[in-house]
Amino acid sequence: MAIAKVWIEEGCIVCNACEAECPEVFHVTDTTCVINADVRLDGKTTENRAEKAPLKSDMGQALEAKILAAAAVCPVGVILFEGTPKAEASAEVPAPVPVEAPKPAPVTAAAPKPDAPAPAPKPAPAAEAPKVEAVVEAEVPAATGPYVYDYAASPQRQIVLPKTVPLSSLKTYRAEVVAQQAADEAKWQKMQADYETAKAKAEAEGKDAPKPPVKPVPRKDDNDLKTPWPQEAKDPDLLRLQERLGDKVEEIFEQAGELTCQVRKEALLEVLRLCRDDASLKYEMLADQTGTHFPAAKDFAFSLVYHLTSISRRKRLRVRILVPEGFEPESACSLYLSANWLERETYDMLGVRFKDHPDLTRILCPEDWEGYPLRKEYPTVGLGQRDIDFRDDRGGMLMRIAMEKAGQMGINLKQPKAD
Amino acid sequence: MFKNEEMEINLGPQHPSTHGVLRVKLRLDGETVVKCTPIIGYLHRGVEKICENKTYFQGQVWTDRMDYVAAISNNLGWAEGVEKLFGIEVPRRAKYIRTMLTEMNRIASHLLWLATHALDIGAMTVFLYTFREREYLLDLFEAFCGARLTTTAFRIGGLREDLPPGFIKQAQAFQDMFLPCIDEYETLLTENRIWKKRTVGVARLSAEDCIALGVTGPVLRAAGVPYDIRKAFPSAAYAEMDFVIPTRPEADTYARYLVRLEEMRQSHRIIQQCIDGLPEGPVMAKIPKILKSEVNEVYHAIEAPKGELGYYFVGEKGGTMPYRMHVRAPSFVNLQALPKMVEGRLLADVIAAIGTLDVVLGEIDR
Repeated sequence: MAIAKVWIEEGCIVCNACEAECPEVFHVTDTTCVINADVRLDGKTTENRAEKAPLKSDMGQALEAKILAAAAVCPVGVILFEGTPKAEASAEVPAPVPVEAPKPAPVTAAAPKPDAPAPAPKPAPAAEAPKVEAVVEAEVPAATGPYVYDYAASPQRQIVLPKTVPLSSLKTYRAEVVAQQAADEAKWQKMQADYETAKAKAEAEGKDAPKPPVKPVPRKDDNDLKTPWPQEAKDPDLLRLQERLGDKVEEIFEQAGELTCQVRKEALLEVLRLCRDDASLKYEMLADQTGTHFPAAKDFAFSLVYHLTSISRRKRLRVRILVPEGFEPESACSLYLSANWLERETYDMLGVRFKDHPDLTRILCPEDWEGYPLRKEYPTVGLGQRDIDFRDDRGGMLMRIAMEKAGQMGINLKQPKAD
Repeated sequence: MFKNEEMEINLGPQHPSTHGVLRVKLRLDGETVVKCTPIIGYLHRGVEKICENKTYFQGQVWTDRMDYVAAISNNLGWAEGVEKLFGIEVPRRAKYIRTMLTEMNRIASHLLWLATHALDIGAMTVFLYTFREREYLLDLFEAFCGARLTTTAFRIGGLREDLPPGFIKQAQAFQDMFLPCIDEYETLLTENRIWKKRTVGVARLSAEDCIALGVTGPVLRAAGVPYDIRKAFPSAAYAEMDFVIPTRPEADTYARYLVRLEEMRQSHRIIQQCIDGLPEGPVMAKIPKILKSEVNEVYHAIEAPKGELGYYFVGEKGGTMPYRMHVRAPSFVNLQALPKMVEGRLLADVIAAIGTLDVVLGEIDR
């Protein structure tokens, strides 16, 4: 639909909110608000109090969202508009329905406007939700095709892909620490240099010398948080893995009391077999297998983790591989039977396929589901979902609630305003 | 004459004995199960995806809805996992209260398991007995946090509130009452001939199979493996508690029944120790109002009534929400063992096997 006519009721408080929202249409003068001449079909410039200003058709289409926003921000709710449906041929579509913008007070909101046609569906009272956008007309569901969610209309729901790669790693952490130290040192050097020049300048001008700089100490927070940073691997299990596997191990470290061993993706099965069968490792059970999607990473897309448990030695080990998109790691089913469903879940949720898996089908989602829900580009709202707009008061429920509330306050909504 | 061909039937997803919306596709030869395929996902709500878009504080609410029978265990796993991610040390009093409530929840969960399992097999009376005691526990949870099932009992860093006045007295009343009740269930079932016929030797799963399939909890312990995360990787105040891990060598449904009954007695012991040794002090650690994580990766597992409940978190630098959250649900992994338990056995044993695994579909499908 597009907006055909816009007009402004009496009661404008000249707050400039509408002009800030939509300067193309609204212009606030010293006493009231007018509709700009260049968007009007008739090109008039007179103040149009309660006079419906017909808009140029292309303007009404293009500025619809802005006008709606302006009507929503108007604190006294005097911006009114009238829409035309897109398809005029349809018999079910009601005639253009004027709907007023939300108003803060229930009394004025519910009072019927004298110029409003009678069969209009009553707008919901603004006392319930004054910030909700006005819906000009009941949505006519499309007869064919799936519902396509309009992300542009709800910017807060757009998918924001992560920009960092939060992959815990001792190497990265050390590099960060070194970079941080270098940055601190450079800053300190610059402070000292600045001080020297300032001192020389002050001496030359005969003023008092500036204060010498103080080396900044790291701020100490007053709380019980002790962030577990990655640490050098000291555990005999990790050292043994490195000794046995050599350059197949990419990284070993400990963090938060957990052992992590990152290995080359091709060597996964060999590592797992070693962990299970080696007499000094004996990780008999695969407790958990899952993955994480890193869209911001350059040379890989997923990290897959295998949490192994040694029941006899009471130890846990995390084996991690990094795989790019499209790479099929080998299935661990031949070593650990429990990998069957866990890998199916990883496939279902992340779309990582496993080589030689006995039955790699979806497990939680239906077979014909599209997309992989735990990838970061998968939206949390929108797929097969509709926005429920409570302004669209089909059953008259909101109206009834408002009447009841008003009744409790002793206000008669049905009684017209004395004007 | 009679046709000799295999028949395929669906058990569930609306069958009362599947404990939720579980569908088991069975291929039968007469009454013998030839092939069994559990089909899950009917209750999938995407908890992991939702929690990745909630802060660490908000996400805990969703853990109640996974294993709704043992919500406090889920809360404990979440809270301790996040605490591990941030390096928060919880005050000792909070640890004791957490331990006490988690053990109460274990009893409540086992009582519900006993009720439904016995009901499935045909012993109706036990249901009425166990729900009587479970009600006491739910009242205690309600006194503590205002909810009976969806508790959200703990906060990251400790507890929101200390115990309400009179809680210890009520808990002690439950303690005094409960032990004879377990004996009462035993008089109904343990030597009951029908119960033994339906459970002894049914749905065996050897220790090797359990370990290969990742099965944990009472099922693993009933196969003779004394693996309990409360002892192996103690968290909360379990390291200070004196209790034993009950095991049985038989690895059948009857052994699991005995193990769970003994676990209730051990939980009773732990609760008593918590009540007696409850230390004084604060119940909340000093944590900032907004938790911002560093790059970190933790897997924290606790012993839920069903088995190993693990939470896997990936923290992002400066992130208030987990970059990735994954739940290792015990029922999900345990249910994988169902075909192994029932294939080649009778159709009626499938019901006993599902009951003895103690699955909760809210946790399997997440």
